[in-house]
Amino acid sequence: MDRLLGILIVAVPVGSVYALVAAGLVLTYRTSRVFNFAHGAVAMFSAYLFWHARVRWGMPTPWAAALVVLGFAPLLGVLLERLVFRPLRDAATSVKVVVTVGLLVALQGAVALIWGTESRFLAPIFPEGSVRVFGAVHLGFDQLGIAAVSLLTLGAIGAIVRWTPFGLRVRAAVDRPELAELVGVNTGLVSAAAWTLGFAAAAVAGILLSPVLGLDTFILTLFVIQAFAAALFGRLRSLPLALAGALVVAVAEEAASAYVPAGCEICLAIRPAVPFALIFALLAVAALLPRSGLGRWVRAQAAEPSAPPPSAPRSRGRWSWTVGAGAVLLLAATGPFLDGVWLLRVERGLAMTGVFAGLVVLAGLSGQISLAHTAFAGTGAFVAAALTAAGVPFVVALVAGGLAAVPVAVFVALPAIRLQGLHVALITFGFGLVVAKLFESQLTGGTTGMAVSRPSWAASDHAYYYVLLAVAALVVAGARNLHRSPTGRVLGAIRDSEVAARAIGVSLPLYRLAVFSLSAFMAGLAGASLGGLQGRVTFLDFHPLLSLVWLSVAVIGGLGSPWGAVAAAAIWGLGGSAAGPWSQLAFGAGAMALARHERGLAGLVLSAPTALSRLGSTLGRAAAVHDGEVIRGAARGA
Amino acid sequence: MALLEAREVTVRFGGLVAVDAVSLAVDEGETVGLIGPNGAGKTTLLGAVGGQVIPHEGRVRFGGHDVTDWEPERRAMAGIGRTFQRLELFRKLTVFENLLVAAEARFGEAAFIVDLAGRTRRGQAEALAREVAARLGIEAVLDRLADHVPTGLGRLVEIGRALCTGPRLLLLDEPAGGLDEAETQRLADVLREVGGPEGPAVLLVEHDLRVVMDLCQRIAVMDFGRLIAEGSPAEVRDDPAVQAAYLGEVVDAGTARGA
Repeated sequence: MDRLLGILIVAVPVGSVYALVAAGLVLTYRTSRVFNFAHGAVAMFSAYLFWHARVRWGMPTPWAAALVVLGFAPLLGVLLERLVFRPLRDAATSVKVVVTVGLLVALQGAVALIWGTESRFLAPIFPEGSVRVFGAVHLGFDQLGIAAVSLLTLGAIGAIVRWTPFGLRVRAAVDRPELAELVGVNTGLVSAAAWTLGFAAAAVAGILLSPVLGLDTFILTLFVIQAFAAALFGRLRSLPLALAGALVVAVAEEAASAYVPAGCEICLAIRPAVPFALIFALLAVAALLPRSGLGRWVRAQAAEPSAPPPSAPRSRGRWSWTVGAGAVLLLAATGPFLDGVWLLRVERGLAMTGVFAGLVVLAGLSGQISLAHTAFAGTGAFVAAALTAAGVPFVVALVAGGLAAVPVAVFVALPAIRLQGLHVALITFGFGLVVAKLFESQLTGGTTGMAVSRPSWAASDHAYYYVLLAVAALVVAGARNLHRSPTGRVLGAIRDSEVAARAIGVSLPLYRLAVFSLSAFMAGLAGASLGGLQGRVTFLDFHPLLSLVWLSVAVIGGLGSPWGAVAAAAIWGLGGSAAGPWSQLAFGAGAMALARHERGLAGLVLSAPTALSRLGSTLGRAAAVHDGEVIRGAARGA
Repeated sequence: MALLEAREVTVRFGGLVAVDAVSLAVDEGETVGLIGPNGAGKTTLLGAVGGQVIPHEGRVRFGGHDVTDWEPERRAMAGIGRTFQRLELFRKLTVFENLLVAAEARFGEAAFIVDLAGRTRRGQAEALAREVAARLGIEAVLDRLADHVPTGLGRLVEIGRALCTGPRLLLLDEPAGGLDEAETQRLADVLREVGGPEGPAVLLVEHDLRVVMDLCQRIAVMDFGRLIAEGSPAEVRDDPAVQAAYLGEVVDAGTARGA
């Protein structure tokens, strides 16, 4: 009993910080309809800046905190609201997800670039020492301070929304934006104010936690998952319910930590699984009780029409086969001449083609988002590793690796597919974190990872090159076939209008499950191929944040056609050290910039001939007109 | 027994009762008009029949089955087709593909694994889509992206898409909304042809009363979520409750023009 009470009490400071992040999320989501994936990353960036002001500039703690909370964070909020979030208001959900994920990746890259990636420690901001709450339960002053500051900040936000004229406008703008505008509420201003407030709250959370957790680009960034679980309790609307949800998440996490048996390594995945499990449970309740408030809300979310980005003209079928065959032949012919680092770069691109083709099919064709592709690729790699170690022929192990990713995908897709893109993104991301924990365990060889042996007939780098090329070509051909098939049409229909697709008798869950599975299968193949290329895979090859980077790269390559996957693979392969801060910054910024240009780089390249010929004909016409003028002028003169 | 039977259907949005214990039946082959002022609950009732809205109370029966708890896709397969007040075209598919995807759904022609391997065979769906396009007279625009067609054409495409599913009951939500005089005339001709003796039953929500009076054998009138009148066009036109609630001068104008 004491233990349970202890858990409850310890959970309060943590929960109140989750609530702070959740409050910012709810506020900004309510006023601008953009769910900011990067909310945790904003907290993270603020914490680094706070450290910089305190340590590098030697500012006193309160001043440094004020600089970040009252200066930097609101400024960043206003700036991003105006430049990024406000134009997104009516964009498709998938575009919103991609842009805010891009922001997350870019913020991480920026931090790594400015401050480096090593963890840092901060001097505590609250006095040391603790008080005895009861029995053996002690609370440190820092924990008390964290709880007090968070709850005060929350109270202030609640009071502003509840009792001030601004709050009234917020509520009006949320319920009926058009009406609010009609009666003279400046919704742009309201949304800007909400982002200011939300970012300031995130900064407070970052500053409070950084001395406890240490400065790290990862942990605070991931708080968005807990905050989302908390916000979901209040249907992304109610602040008090989000607070209650935050406490539930924190208590469940503390309990998971406290009751995990010592020495059970796989159990380490239980704590990160908590927010995911709660989201899962809430959605299950919604599915079981379709007529409840939550059930109706979830259904309404799923029915929200998601406007797709502008369309891509269709390239001709035969032409794409010709170009595809030409590309494969060209790559096959180049193989023997590649060497050293260039061979490795092209091979890395070829190996990863499956991941990008899977994302193109999933996000481009069916309009869904997965942020768990590291889990799928990793499953493929580790299963292939185990099988080749057991003497199974490589090709069988490769296919088995791809197939093994399918049930993993089905598990996460089952709750996800009934929901809107935003929730799918968050659920898959949370799931990816859980699987990543499992990858760290001895189950997959811990830090040494597992060896993947190449087939005996393709042991050399040059020979294995053709294995990779064959897999990549098959995957892209599959994606291309799907694009032009009846199934591709159905997926396009679902993407363009869910309500109309259902009204013609299409079962969304079935198709979504199928396309999710296919995408995971392709990613699993890629993971296994990568294993063969490297000879060894570890959990670091499938770090969960790579899912976000991969999606950014796929967006930059272009989600509109299978060629986008090829472009993305080229970017990935030739981009060199893809996890470096510069490329992270570039990928993130690129995704933010290109999210609404579905055709990406592939589209730019493909449309170049058309654009040139159009330019040519325009010039020709201009010249003709000019000649005409001259002739007419001459005639008049005569 | 009627093809469609909605019994005491009630739908609430928060405190607002959008549809209040409305009962309505549509017989096989019949064209029924559903009219009423804005916000009367017509679209919501249509949603309760199509499955887009879950009623809080009441039951919906279709073709002898209680479909109240059926998902919209199951109702579509059972023969309820519909169009939407705000166009819901598959914007990035061509007009032809909009029809084709519906026909393929009907015949179950999308096969995931086979499609992945790449196949080119043409099924009966394509023939049906072409036939429907010909009936609606939209063959000239089949290759255009749905995103790029004007509203009037878009309404025809939605009707065509619904027809491709082979419906026994067609729910039309303001098909003449946003159309000019000539387009409305063309639409009325199409609907008369569609709702013929061979065609599906039609439940038509429409503000253009001339179209409704012209096409429907029976008209139901809603106001503030309630059914306030039901009967033949003439009966409804002469019903004092209807005139008081909503029609009045509009019908007079219509009659005057008819005279």
